Amino acid sequence: MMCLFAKSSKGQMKMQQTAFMLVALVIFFSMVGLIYFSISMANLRKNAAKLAEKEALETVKMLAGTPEFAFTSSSDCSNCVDLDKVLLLSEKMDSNYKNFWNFEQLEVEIVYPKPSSNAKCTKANYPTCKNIVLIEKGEKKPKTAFVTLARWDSRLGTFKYELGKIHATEKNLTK
Amino acid sequence: MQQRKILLNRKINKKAQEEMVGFVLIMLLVAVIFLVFLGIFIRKKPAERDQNAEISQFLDAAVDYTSDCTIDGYHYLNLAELIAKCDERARCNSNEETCEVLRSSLKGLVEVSWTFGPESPNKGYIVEVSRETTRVLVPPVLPSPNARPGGCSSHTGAEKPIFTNAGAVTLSLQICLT
Amino acid sequence: MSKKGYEFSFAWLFTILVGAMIIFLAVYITTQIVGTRRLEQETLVGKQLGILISPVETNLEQAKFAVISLNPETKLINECDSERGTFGSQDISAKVSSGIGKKWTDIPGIASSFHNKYLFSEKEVYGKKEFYVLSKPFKFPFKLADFIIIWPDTKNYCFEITSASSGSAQAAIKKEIEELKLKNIQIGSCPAGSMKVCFSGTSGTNCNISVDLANKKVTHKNQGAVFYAESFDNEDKYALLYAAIFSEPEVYECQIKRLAARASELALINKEKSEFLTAQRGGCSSAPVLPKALEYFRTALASIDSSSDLDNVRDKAEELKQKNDVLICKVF
Repeated sequence: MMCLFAKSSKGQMKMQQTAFMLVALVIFFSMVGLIYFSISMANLRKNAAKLAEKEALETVKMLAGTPEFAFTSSSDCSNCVDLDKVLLLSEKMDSNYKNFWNFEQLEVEIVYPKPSSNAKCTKANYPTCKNIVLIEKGEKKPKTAFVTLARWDSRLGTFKYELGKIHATEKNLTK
Repeated sequence: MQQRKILLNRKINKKAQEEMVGFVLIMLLVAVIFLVFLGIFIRKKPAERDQNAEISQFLDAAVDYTSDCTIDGYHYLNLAELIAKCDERARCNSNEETCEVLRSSLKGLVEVSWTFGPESPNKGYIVEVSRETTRVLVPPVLPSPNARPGGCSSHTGAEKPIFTNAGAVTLSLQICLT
Repeated sequence: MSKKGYEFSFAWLFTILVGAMIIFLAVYITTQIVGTRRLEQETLVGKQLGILISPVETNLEQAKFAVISLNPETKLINECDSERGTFGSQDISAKVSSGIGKKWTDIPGIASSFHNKYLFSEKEVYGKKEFYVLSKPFKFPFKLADFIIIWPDTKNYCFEITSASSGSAQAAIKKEIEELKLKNIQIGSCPAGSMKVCFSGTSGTNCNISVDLANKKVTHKNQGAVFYAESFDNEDKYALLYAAIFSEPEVYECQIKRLAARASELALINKEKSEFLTAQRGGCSSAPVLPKALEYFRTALASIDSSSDLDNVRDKAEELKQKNDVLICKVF
């Protein structure tokens, strides 16, 4: 009777040991998994942020290639923005070109040589001005890309290329 | 009978202790293997020369910039042409050295595009124009004459090859973050 | 004698009733949610297609080819409206197949609208796994836009190109198909069931699309004919020909009207640029010759009612290009 009792409780002990070991292993490996995933998620977030930044730069840079912006008067610069055209385009943004691009804000800034005036560009003060505002500033922070600005320089009697930036914020795409 | 009972108990106790020791050994073994894998996994990879997209775009735009230097009195050199002429140690019409015009243009372009300073996320920069990392065309362009090159522990940057008659020259801009 | 019977108590009755109600509600709510989610999904797919198409547009390249993978099967709806606003509009929406309920919904998801995109395709493009996108720039005489030509994996095109002399349209198309490795497009030995495209000079029976190179005319079987004009890009003249082949005549004609509007506005900007630069002291003198030519060009564009008017306008475009090319400081 004693032996039977001892054997059955031995079996139960064994089962309990196995059960506890399995539980401990499961907890252990879950912690391992947790650490692994948090490290790889951190890497993933970093890569996603990098890709998003690259994509934003490419979207804004692509604007420089559209017919209204592209400089085609000379083969010196194949991916330049025609600043003279953009100035004239800015006068049409409230009429024919309203809502043409899916942007909430759109601006071309002259960066270098640093303009002597911080004023917005008009036909009267061009090219001694800071920026051409096509679509007025909104609330969101715009995406920015460096571009080369091309314009006719009457003093040099040739096309001049300057450093500029395009600032743009995209709109939602639905009708 | 009593003695048999005591012996049986001792045996059970010893067995239980053996089981516990075995369990702990297994846990230790698994922990060691895990630490080895963790160490291999998170060991820092050597810093790759990752091209920063914004700086890369800046360099693409900057090389077309028209400088104030002309050699024939008609055509004003852009930055890429300035680099080529600097390689030949040519002089502008105004008697200025092309390399000097190149340095000042690069300095102006970089300093107006980013804000540098102790309070800014960008602490400093270094612009280098060199061929095959051995022949430096211009001394490194730095924020101030006192700034030391190579003082960055963390930086981001980009490079652009410029093709001249004598071969490829590398224009590189590194911005110090810390 | 003890009779063992089963007592159908109230508790059982209640349990069955409540259980049935819960199951019914669960199924009903699921189907409602699936319906709403499907609309959401279709709208999202339409928007994503619009976004995916953007990077395919060319900047410096002649042409670009890309493949858009689909999961699940998708129908792209191409709606062109040439009357909306100055430039008309390009609306892209989608229908996504589903295993629950109807395979295809009657109404597509909410459309994504663009004014600066020109999509040439059938009105409804049904793709099982992939859409193929070919982007080609079009100059007339300055760059007007990039055409986005789409065809699905469910359609096989076969171009009956015989031994074409170099410099001809057929040779150029054959070379491009091979270089860009365009998918679902075969040259010669047309299998049954494929969309056969025959060129004038090839003996073609059962041609789905006939191309008359001499008259610059493309005829779709049972759908009528459209006309194309060559692009002012010597390396890539046939963007409109591709567009005419791969799109439905109705869509093609609508896009032609939209392009004419775009060309007119670009011509106006160039005219103002010419006058502005001439007015500056030491300016780039191109007026009054170029502005006049641009104005004639605009007048010709305003008269475009269909693609058959394209050839008339091309003469004015040619004249404009010649006047611009002789200038020291070109306007475009």
